[in-house]
Amino acid sequence: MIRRFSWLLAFLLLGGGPASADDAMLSPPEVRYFSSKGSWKQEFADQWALQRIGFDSSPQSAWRLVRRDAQPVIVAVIDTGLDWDHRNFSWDSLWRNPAETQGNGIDDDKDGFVDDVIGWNFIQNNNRPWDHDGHGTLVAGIIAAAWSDKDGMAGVNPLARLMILKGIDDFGRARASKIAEAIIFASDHGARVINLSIGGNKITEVERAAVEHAFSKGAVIVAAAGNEGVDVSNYGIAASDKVLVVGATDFNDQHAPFSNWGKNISVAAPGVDVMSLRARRTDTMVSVPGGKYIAGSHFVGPDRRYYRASGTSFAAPLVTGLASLMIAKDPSLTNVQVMQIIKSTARDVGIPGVDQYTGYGIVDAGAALAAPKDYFLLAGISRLAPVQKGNATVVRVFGTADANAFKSARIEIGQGDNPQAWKPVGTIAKPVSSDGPLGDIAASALAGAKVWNVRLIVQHGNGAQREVRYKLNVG
Amino acid sequence: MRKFAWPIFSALLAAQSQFATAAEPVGAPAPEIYSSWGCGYTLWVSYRGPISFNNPTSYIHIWIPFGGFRFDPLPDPSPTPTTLYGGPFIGLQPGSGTPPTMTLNTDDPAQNTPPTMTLNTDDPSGNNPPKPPDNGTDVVPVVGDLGGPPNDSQKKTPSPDDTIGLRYTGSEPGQTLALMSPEHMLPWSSPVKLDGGYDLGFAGCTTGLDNTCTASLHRSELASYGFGKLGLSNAYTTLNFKAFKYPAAPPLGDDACRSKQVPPVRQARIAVEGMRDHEGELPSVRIDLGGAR
Repeated sequence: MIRRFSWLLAFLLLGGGPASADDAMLSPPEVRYFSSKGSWKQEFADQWALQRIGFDSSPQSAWRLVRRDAQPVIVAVIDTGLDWDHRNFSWDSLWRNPAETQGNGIDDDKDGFVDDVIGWNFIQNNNRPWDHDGHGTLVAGIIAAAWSDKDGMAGVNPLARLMILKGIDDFGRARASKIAEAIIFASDHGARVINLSIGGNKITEVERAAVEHAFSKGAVIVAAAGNEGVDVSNYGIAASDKVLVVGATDFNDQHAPFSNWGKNISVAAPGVDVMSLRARRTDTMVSVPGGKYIAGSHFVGPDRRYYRASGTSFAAPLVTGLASLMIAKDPSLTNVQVMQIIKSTARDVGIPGVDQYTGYGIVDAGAALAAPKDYFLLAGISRLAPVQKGNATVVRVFGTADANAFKSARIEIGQGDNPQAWKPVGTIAKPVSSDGPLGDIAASALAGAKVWNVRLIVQHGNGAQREVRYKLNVG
Repeated sequence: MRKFAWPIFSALLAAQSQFATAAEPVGAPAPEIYSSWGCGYTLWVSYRGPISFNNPTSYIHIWIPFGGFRFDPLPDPSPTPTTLYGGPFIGLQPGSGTPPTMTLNTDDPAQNTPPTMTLNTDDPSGNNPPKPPDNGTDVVPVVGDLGGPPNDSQKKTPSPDDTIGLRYTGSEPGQTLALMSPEHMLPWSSPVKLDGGYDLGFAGCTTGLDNTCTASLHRSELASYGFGKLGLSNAYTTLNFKAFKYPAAPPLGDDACRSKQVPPVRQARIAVEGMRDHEGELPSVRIDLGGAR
């Protein structure tokens, strides 16, 4: 069994510790839905998703690792827009374009968009990215619902400043070109994190170019894995290796059946019955084809200002919120560092090790926020290949075994789909970067069974370790 | 950015007359039609044009889904209008230079002008039969509370089935005569947040199986909207129109469809079979589909 590293212990040893309620750190919000449960007759907390990744009310709450006066962070939400008049959304949480004068009809910053003060509506080409669908407001609420509404819910990051980019139409549909445009806008206007709860077949060249551009400008790009239950390797922007791809898990920390899978899955987050803000006059599930949704049945609260929904669309913004909070805590973090920390500190669930359903696991906000900025611990097997070595044939293992304080790594094999015993076949003394040779398995070692699992375990100097498995069929 | 799809323009123009006829506007000029492609199934069409009902004229903006992406009429467990969710949207936009009067729906539009009803009163039950606006002059802008947020609307809400007819009398030509939706007010231009009334429907509807629908506003909807908080104005009547179909979208090269990532909801059903208890047969349980997807 893989030993779990105790981030809380490390944090305490480093001199940190639970903060008192009156100090300079954030305290968990005191709002209705954060502490309530059963609002749609469910047995779990209304905001269970938030709490499951570490944003809870305990002394160890991840929020307590961030100062109240931390630096606000610009977060672009490329979606169906926003109901900015929702009672539970503060205008203080909106990005304001400092180079644009409000309402003067002039493109002050000469960016090609007139009066783009809070974002842009790429569908109708105006500066009013209002949400007629509801999806975007749900996403925005998960990231940044105001903590000031005592009758409301809480978003992940009160320090987020949302740039509202409407790239999806009022049916929840879009073109890749629109999304690409919005990505360019976001990165050119200073977004540190970009949320894309959007998917579709293949990644287009224009999207790839936009992602490369945004990545080069330092943006963390968070994309929903998608809900088709298919391999994500050729699924929209989630197919890019410059993106943090988020799958969905359920209340039991299991991979949600609709969530796409594949090697590109970076991490997972709760994506079933996630509660958030409902844009007025919307019911986003109605426009989802193929379902049997009953209109209004996902409204939450006596005033119907809230909504519960499932999908990787709502897992992704949890990670976006976390990424933005990490940057608020330490603005010097690079996008690569943020992505590596989030992956390296994720809590392994489901199939042991890094897997194609939940990637590195469910994000752990407390661990991510407590981790040193250069922290990473990566384990991956990209492929196995037969190689002639002298007179013998070996199976060469390629992948990644890397950490900022690399201690060691080893390769083991076990028989069957779920091995009960493992046999060591090699150790790795130095870190190996992406798709490098990790070691060889003698063909003779694979005698006696047709199905094997190859396991790579990478150990960090701080005691943490990460594993990954690769199934090998022989013969 | 993908520009307007010119190949469809002529077809849209061809459809224009059909559309205009369906909406039954009175008077010129001819309506304008704008379009933008949605993805996969949908082409958005917006219609701008004057539509008159018994003189009052408004400028109406109609969004219609068509081309296979059908929104069936949906049962709604709430008292709110069922047809406004998602895309189908009809917003009323400000008129320009039109007489500052408008009529907001009755079952019989012919009765709207006159007599009419006034909106700005704390006693909606007094609205019908009509009486003059409270101050005798303008009702635009409407101020104060006409029903407030849903929680306190009961005392001011008339019968839910009472379709309302409203008439506003403005003080000068060119006055704004439209329900001003919150989305028309950017945060910096609105002194207060417009959170009242969560489910008001602007008059809108969803095409049904016959591609037609009817939209109307009810008094209860207005009250639940906390109407007085809006920079409101006028309104409108029952609307009938027909959606029309259009050939498939032109190829878009490398561009691909994208959509929000929400899986369809499928109901879990459990059927108990073979329940013949007195015959001693054991029941069996069949799970047809468990959970979402």
